[in-house]
Amino acid sequence: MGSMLLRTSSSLLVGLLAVLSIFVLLRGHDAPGGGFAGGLLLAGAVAVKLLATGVTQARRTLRIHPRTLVGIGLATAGVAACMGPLTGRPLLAPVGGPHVADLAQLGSVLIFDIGVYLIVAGTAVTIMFSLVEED
Amino acid sequence: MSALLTPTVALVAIAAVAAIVPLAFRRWPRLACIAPAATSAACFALFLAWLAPVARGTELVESWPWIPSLGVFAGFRLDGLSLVFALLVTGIGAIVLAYSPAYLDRGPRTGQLLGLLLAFEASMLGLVLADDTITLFVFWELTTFTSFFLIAFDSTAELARTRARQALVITAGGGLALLVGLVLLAGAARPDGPGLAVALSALDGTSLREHASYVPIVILVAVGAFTKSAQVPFHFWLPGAMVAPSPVSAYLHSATMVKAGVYLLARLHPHLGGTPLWITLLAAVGATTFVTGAVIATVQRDAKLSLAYATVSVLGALTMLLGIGTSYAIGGAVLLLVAHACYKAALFLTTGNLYHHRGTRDPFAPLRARRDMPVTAAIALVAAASMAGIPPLVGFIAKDAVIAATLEGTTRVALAVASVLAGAGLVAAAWLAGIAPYSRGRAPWSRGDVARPMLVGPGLLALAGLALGLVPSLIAEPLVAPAVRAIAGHPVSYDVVLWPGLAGVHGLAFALGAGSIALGSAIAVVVWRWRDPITVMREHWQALSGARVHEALLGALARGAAAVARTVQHGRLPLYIGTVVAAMSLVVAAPLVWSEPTLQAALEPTGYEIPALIVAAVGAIAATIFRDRLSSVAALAAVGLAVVFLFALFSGPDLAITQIVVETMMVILLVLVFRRLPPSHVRERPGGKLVRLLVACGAGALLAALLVVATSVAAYPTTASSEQIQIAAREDMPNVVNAILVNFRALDTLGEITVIAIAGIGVAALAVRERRR
Repeated sequence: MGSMLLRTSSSLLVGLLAVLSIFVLLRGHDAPGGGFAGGLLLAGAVAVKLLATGVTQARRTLRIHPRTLVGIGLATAGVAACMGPLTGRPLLAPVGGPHVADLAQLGSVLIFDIGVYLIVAGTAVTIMFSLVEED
Repeated sequence: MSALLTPTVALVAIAAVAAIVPLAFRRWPRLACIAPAATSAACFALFLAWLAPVARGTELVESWPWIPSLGVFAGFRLDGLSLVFALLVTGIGAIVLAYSPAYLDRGPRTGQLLGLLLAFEASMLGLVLADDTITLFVFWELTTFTSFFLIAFDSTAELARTRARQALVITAGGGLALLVGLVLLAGAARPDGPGLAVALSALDGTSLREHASYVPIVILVAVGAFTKSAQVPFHFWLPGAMVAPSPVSAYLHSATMVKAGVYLLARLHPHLGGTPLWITLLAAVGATTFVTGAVIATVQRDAKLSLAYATVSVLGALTMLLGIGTSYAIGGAVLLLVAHACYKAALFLTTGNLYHHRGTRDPFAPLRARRDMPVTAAIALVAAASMAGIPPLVGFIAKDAVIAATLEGTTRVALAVASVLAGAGLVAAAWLAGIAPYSRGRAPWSRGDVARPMLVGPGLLALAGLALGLVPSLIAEPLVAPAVRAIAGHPVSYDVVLWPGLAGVHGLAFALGAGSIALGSAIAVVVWRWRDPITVMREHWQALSGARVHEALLGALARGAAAVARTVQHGRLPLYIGTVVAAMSLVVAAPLVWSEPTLQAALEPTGYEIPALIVAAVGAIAATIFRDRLSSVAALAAVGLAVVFLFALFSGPDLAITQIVVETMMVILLVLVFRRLPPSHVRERPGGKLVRLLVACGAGALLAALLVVATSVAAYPTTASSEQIQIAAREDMPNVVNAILVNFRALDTLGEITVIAIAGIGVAALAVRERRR
């Protein structure tokens, strides 16, 4: 599977795409982007690795089982949802924090978006892997 | 002292022990066998301490906030009626809990049974103490569920599971009717309140009886009560539940749970009772059940089944008396309630002894030894005498009161005849269950009996029946009179004496009672003389029983569901997709045509839009022409990218970013999916291509029309209000789209990501399953 060209460039591409996905996630607060688009971008990064080197290599690159990613994402979103009640506000109410590097604002909204990011990426990768695996 | 035990304290204590006992039994079996009975007995003692204050007219009301916006609170009330039931639940609970470990020989599942029994006890106690309609309903359903597990306790036996399901379907079905009835009741009682629930103590009977929804309320509540209390035609689940262990039957199916329906009717009697509808419905159904249960009880060859049908009969009597509703009838109902709980629980437990000792419950089974089980036999004799209504036992007082209540008034000849007939049947059933199994024996002599813990409990109950009969003043003023007042809803005096004399209605009642004992004895002789032909006949009739009808209906339902599933779930992917697309098109097309939209499309592309549109159009046409799937996907991707470009042109960067990543992912996923599909389109049916063409073109044309119509709408309704946008600016979130997604509509997003996660796991599971095949 995959051409020499793709295999060689994939390592570089994967890293770039992953960093780009995190950038898109973080800037979602102030500018176009966000957890959904970022998550799909990360899944795209894994897809590049998958198409270039096959599912075993892709799994190794990801290091973590995609389904675990989904679980962590749901838990993260849940924690963010509960931050409101813990500070005496309604469920899912935003709890703010300081701005960091003109990019994003720390707080429950960002944590919630990180949850979305992880779930979207995890689900897309889970589906891709399960479609490719032959064993 | 008595202030220590509020209903909440008792409930929490019992529920806590229920949670601990199953676990504790493994470590400390001895303690875990004693603690439940001790807890229950302590609650019984503390409820006894409430007798005097309640008899003086004190009412204890407790209320905890629960769902204030719906007017629901967790309210409890202790009055005369609740106290009678609370004493029965805790007192008989203590006896049954002390009896159960010995019945199971302290086997490995003892802890489980004790825990379930305690959980049931807490539910039942909550039910009879509840003051709020929703609290009452919750505890009502809790008794249904705990009893389901208790009936199916022998869960490896298929019969136990079937019968438990049967009881669950009947009583939970009735519970649904009850819920609707109670909500209607709350609405009728508090038309301007926030309303799902209403305090039972705050109901106003006069206005309720005039209310427009009075008739549905009575019928729905009655259906709930009738199913729970096993009234004809729902009675069959109760004998079916006899697959449960004997202590469970003694507790649930005679003394407490089946009386929940009767309790509900008694509780609502002051608010709903007294109308022609109430009197006719309850008296007719009750009297029918009274006679039916007693007649079937006499033809059983199983002591426990006889007792079960006799219980059905008594439940019918209680319903009938609450329908009649005079102070005589209500007094008779309370007396019968107490007397029945004492003798029936004792008889169920002695029948348990019988089964434990001999392995059979057939009253006519040949005995191994003469004078076998002497203590059990003595207890059973006393209890059976109370059941038959023989003086000086409390059963006699109750039976006399019941017959006297039916004799009051002029139009009740039918009810009096029913009472006499049913009374005779109960006499024969008492003989079958309490005397026949112990009375015939051949040599050699034996004085073997079951273990002492299995004798103490039923013995106490039988003695209670004797003591209450000899000294009825023990319960007359402190227990019966407050309960009668609570059911009647106004002050009435009611006196209980063993011998009311022969004056007036009492002479006739006594004569009828004596007559029913004589008739019952004659029936017993017949039942003994022709026992085998009767058994053959009974098995013949069973084809008509409600249980068979119920099973047949359930079977038909399952077969119908299977037939529908076979038709709809055919497993052919092209047909699924075709059906979905065609149905969707029709659903969208109908209102579109019907609304006669005004078209003012201003589709005049300019500048960079023109090349983007050309790419999109070429891609779309190419996708339909290519025979190769991969090429079609590539063509579709071109359409998607052209759309991304258009979004960017129309200043929708968010949409453009999302669209481009979705499009990319879609292509990757489609390519991966196509690798798994069969090479080409499967065998084409004649005309299949035409149908597919029609569906596809129809859906495409419709979508195009929809777009044109949508762009013709002058003003777009906004989903995000300007107010929200202002908040976004103030909360320092310049990206309004994302602010809506993860802030204002975060709950929606939370739901969506959960669905995404579930869908992903579902796809993975399907793929794994496909590979394994």
